[in-house]
Amino acid sequence: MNHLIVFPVAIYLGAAFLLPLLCGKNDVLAGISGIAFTFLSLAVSALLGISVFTGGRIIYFVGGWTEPLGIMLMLDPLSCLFLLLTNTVAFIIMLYSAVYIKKYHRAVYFYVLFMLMLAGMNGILISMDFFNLFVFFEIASIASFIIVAFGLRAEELEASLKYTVISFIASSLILFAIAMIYGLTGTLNIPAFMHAAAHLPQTHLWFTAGLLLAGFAVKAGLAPFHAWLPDAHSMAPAPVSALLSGLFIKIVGFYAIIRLTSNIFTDIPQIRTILLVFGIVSMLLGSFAAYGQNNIKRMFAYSTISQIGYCAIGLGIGGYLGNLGVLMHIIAHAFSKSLLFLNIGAVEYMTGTTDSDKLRGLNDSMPYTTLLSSAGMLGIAGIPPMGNFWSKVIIIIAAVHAGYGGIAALCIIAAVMTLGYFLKLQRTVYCSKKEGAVKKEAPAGLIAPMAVLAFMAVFAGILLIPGIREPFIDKAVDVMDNFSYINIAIGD
Amino acid sequence: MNKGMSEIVKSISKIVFPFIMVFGISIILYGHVTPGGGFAGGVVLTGGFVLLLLAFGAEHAFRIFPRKIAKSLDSIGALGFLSIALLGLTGGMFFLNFLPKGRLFHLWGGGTLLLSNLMIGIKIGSALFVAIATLSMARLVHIKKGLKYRQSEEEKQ
Repeated sequence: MNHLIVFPVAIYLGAAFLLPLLCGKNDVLAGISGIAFTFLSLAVSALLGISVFTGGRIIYFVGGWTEPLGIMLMLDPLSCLFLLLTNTVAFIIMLYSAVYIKKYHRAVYFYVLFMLMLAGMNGILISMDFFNLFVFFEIASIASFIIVAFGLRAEELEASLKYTVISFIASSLILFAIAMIYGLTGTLNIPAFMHAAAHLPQTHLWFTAGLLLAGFAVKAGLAPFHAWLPDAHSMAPAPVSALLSGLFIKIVGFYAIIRLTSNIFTDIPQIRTILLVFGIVSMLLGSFAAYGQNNIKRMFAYSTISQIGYCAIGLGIGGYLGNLGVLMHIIAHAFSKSLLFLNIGAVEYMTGTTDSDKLRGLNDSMPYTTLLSSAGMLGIAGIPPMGNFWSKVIIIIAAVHAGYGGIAALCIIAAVMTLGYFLKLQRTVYCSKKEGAVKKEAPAGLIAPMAVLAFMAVFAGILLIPGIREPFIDKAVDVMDNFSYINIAIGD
Repeated sequence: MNKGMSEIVKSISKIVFPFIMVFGISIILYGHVTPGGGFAGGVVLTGGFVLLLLAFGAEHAFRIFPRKIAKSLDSIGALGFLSIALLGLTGGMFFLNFLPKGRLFHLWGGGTLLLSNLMIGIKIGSALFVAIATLSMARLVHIKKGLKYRQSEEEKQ
């Protein structure tokens, strides 16, 4: 059973190099094999999920070499929750891409890069070694730089260049921190580092933590470091935007921040204060900037910045409620934001534009797409039955409990603003009248995956029902609350 | 098409090319006992092909090492490395060194390390060559477009 832990990475890496050999220029075959590989990985992560949530964390030594020589892999309830989320959403996005990607030439390379991104993301979740983490970050990031520019138009290349430069600055900060860690402690294994760090001067630890936090904040798109995000997320092909906004920034950026704050640098509570500031700034700035956007995808990208701000606030507050709110918000937002990006992709597929000034009367021409878009928008705005409502309520309650009444008020204001810009979009683009509108619905291959995501976005709140909550999400929250890597015995 | 460089460069490259190949292959094969390994050896192999590309022009280089084969070798190298890692599962662990270790400090002295280095060498050698070939092609396209642009400008005048 333990051996399964390497497969989420191995399957995607194998698929990335098998696809160009097998499929060549056959796009249909590439699509089918892409779906097959993502499904395989989803099945493996489901098995791993059953094993981890019933039996506790899995620790694996690659090649049979134990610490300090070997590479340790670990899957605990927190990373397993993210693993399940990644593979579920990736499978649905892959179903969508198989139809959508007909717009582009050389679709095989799209699948190759997509698989490499997923391999990197799954690798981040299982590694327990600073340098392995860095390698998987880079695999995922470099694949994403290329896939953002997949359409090869001038503005896509510009977005990709901007993203590459800013992201490499972040990577060099992280690499510098890793060099510091190795220089100070002589190890890159996280538990061994934790043991050695107990004897280090505080200033050294603070400096390392600051470098890592800055690097991962860039990758997560938190406010002062967010400049690359609106360009990259709005210029990528729609399925890639969905993956980038729904999952990528949460795993490559935010998962690492969660691990830093809750499990590694537990002695530095100031990180949480910094996260609160970042969170408030991103939440408000994202909401304000979203009002001014004509390009709908760009508006969604700013909305992502604002929603990742909620996650940062929840993590900054901490405690059981704050952590539960963060995890719920990540899950619900992954479903709703992927849904929205796939939805606008379907509109672009049929009409060829994402400009909110040119699109009118979509309710008449594309009724199902409009219905699904309203599901996503109400979800992100936090209207009661949706998953995001519960997560936002939990974060606000956590803020009130922790004595941050002002932050709770700001969260409510930002939620109302979110509803505001989505209603504006619904009013002008979807529900307006257009003379001579013809019914031109997107193909069923695009509608069906969106419907599944909409279903998940609506019913994500089920995870909070007592009985489902305890064996599943509570275990992940428990990892955030009580686990520290120092508890893992090394050398056994 | 590009005819390559002068006769002197061509004849020296012809003499040097086999030595570069042998050097690269030896770095790959002895990667586990001497400095170097799959990556360094692969880069040396690419260097040999790039020398051909510069001295004789792209057509000649692609006749000796066609791009299609290079692209396939790129994938095969990566898949081979992954399958060596997965074969370790037959012995009980991912990446397990399941082959007999042989005599220390000899060619057959590292079990799967030799095969892994070989696969990395194939992967890096072909992938870097494809990358450099693609860059040279991009420059050709650019020059051709520039010529077309200049011609149309002249026609206008």
